[in-house]
Amino acid sequence: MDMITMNIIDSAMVAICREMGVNVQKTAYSTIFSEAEDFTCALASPEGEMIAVAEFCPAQIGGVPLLVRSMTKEITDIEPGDVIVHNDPYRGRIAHPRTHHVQADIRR
Amino acid sequence: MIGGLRSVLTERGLDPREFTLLAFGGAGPVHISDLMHMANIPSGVVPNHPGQFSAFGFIMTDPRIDVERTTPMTSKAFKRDHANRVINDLVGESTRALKDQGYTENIEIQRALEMRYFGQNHELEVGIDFEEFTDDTIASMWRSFHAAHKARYNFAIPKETVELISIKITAIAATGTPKLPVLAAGSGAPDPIGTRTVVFDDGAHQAAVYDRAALLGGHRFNGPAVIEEPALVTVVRPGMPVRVDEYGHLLLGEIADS
Repeated sequence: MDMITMNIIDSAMVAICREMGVNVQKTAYSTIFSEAEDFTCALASPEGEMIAVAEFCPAQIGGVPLLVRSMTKEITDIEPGDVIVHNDPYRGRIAHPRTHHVQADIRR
Repeated sequence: MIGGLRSVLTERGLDPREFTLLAFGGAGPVHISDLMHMANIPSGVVPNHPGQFSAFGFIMTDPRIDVERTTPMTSKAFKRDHANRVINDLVGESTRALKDQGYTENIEIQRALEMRYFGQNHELEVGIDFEEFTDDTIASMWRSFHAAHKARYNFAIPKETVELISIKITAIAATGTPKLPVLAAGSGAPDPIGTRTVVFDDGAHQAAVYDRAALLGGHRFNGPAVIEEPALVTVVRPGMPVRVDEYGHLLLGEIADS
C-alpha cells in the first residue's frame, strides 16, 4: 500500500469518529454534550485494539481498549446491530458510574 | 497552504488524487503548480481574471435578500396567526428591499424554518413549499422535520415535541447571467514573449514567458512557464502540461490532456 492511500485510510477512520461526535453534539439535549464536549468516540477491532479516536474529551480515551476487551470476553453472543450500554468503572469505564459507555457492533 | 489542503482533504478521508485545484486571487496562480505537486492533486484550473474572481462571482449571481426572525414556539403550542403574520412581514420586507435596489421583476420567494426537538441545542433548517400555515401545512412541516432529522442523523423521535426557532425568507430576483465570450481558436504552442530564469526546487530553468491576453482557445504548452496578466502571474512547474480552453481558462496537469 502506498503512503498516500495509507494516510487517507488512517484519516478516514478518525473522520468517522469525529462524525460520530458531531452527531452526538448536534442532537444532544444536554449541554454537557453539546457545549462541554464531555465525551469521546472511538473505533476498535473485535479484539479491543483501538483503531481510531476523535478528540472531544481526550481523558476518556484511555479505557477504550479495556472496555472493548471486557465486552467481547463477557458477552459472546453479540450480533451486528446490538448495542451494549454499561457504566462499570472496573471494566474500563473510567471516572465514575455516571459516565456511560455505549458500544455497537458494526460488523456486516 | 499544504496544511490547509490537508485539513480539507486527507484529514477528512478524501483522496486528493480525485480532486481539481482551483486557484484564484492575486496570489493563488503563483503557487498552483507547486501545490498540485506537493498535495498530490493531479489537475488544476486558473480561471479568467483570477484577481477579480469574487467580483466576477457577484456578476454571475442573482441578487438575493435573506431575512430571518426568531419565532420560538412548539408543536404543542403553535400560534398559527402569529406565524402567518411573521411570514407575511418577512416576505414584504425582503421583496421591498429588492425593489429598493431596482429589482422589480421575476422575484422568487424561498421559505425555510429552523427547527429542533424541544430541548436540543442545535437546529436543522427545513425548506417548506407552502405560503401559509394551515392545519395541513403545519402537520406537514413537523413531518418534514422528523424526515430531515432522520436523513441527517439517522434517527427521528416521532412522538417528541418539535420546536420552531426561526422563520427564514429569501427573495431572489432572477436577472439572468451574462454570456462568456469565446476566444478565437488556436492550435499548438503560443509564441512566448520572452524567456526568464526561474528557480524551481530542482534548480534554475529557462522558463518561457507568455502574455495571457494573447492566448487562444486550444493552445498547449508545457512548463517551465510563466503566464503574465496585469494583476498576477501563473507559474508552471517544469514538465507540467497546460491547455487553454475555449473561454481562456488555463487547465493544468492531467485535465490539460483530457
